[in-house]
Amino acid sequence: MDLESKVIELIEANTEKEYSVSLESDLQNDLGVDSFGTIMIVNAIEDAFDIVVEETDIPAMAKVSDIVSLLQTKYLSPPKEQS
Amino acid sequence: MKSSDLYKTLRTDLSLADRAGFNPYYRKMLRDMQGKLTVDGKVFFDLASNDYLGLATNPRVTTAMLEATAAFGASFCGTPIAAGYAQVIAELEDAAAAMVGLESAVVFPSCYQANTSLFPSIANSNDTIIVDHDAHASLVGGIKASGARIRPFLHNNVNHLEKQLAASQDQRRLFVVTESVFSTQGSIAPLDIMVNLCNRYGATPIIDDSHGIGVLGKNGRGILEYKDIHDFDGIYTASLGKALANAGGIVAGKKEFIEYVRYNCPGLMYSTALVPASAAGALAAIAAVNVGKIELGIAFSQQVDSAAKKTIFFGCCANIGLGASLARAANGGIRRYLGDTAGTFLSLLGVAMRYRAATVSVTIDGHVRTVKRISDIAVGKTRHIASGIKVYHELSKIDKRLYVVTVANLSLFNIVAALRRFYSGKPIPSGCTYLSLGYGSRIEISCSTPLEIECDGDSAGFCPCVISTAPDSLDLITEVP
Repeated sequence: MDLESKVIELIEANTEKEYSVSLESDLQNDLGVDSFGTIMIVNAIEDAFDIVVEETDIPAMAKVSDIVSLLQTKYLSPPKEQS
Repeated sequence: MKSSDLYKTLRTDLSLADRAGFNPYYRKMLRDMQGKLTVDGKVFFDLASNDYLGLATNPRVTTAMLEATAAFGASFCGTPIAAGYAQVIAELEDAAAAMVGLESAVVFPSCYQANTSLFPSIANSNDTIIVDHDAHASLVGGIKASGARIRPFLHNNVNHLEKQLAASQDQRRLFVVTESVFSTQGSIAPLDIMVNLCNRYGATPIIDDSHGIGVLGKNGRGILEYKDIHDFDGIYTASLGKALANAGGIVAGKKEFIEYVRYNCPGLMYSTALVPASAAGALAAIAAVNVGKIELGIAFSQQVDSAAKKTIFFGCCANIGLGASLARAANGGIRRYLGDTAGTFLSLLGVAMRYRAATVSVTIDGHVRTVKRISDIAVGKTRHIASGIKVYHELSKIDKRLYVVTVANLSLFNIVAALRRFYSGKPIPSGCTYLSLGYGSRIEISCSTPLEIECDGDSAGFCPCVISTAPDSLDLITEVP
């Protein structure tokens, strides 16, 4: 399963209502996710990828695509090779 | 930052209320000893308070409060740990603990205060608190203040809860927090299953029973009785300001833990103690619940004006009081796409064309009545009015019988007239679409064609059908001999 699909699956499993989630979905406006709901999604992502998301990154997670980008660029990117 | 600049950042935008010319918040109210509520000179039924048992105006409770004030003064003007621990507070703690079946209890000035100050006293950043997504603001505030890791779980979803428990096994202390009755939804936590999960995963359950105490359970002892939970080794909190009709809150549990709370919870130790009147009032309310002596539903029926003979109509969009088959059709997808008025109209039109008018025989406490051209029929208890059952003003204050309302002479004209008045908040005119049959404790309904019966908003099955009042829920509390 690719990263986008995995993130969408995690969000669908951690929201109260059955929304159709896409990369363009806005957590608050489209999916009704409140602050506690955001914590729930972040916890699920941390558990799934065995990472710890820094609190300062959470406000930038407005859309599903934001979460995917953040994971790709910061948390799941391979370490840069030493030159 | 200057104060003037600070206050610019601390404003509430009330422009919407200004434009609407109406703000539903902080309405000034008057309330008399019959529970009648007056707002802006108009008398209202109070369906918004948490006075579930009508004890706030009960003479046993109010007299106890007056006598306590006369005996001990208005306040001890001290913290409970120093000079404010009135004897009556100690008595209330014993009575509250005995009522809910726990070893010991401690009284706080409010349950909000109990919840917000409890968590920082028992958890810190090394611990994890798993909490229902829809938990009350006081629980959320307390949990956040503790600094513990927060793991919300989907509302009342025990599978999601178990995932959080399984993922939290490396934590020092682990708590699971929920409420018994969620007041805005009316949902009840599956606490028995949650307690079992806590035992399996080494977590401590914390239950806020504010909306369950005095109401849930065969004897009104709350969620633990309702879920048949014995030897609860978790932490229990509850408000004294809802069914128990006063102010204050309790934290209850194991005796040793409650002693810890007494000496380690700043919200208790450094706050002026509950005033004697409130402690005595809550004590009297607990006595009333324990001995089962107050009529359920009194909060509603005490507000009845016997002089007024008008019919009032309560309704909501989800179920407009038309009976099971009509309500189900109206609640269908068609309303979702066309809106309330047009959707309901089309749904009802479909029902009117589909169903043939029936002849219904209704036996109310042995008295038989036959009504022709009935299209739908609904039954409700007088204290359960949210389903849209219409209730007469002159119901006596102890009336707890079932009330029957039928939909008769359903025609295109009547549907339009009824809907227009319903959605504009006006009473449905008698003789238009609705026909009441009266009330009784046992109602038998038979019909010339299969007709579904609604009782308090839920289907009670098809005719022939017998509906009786439920002794367990209605006779929980009765008058003092």
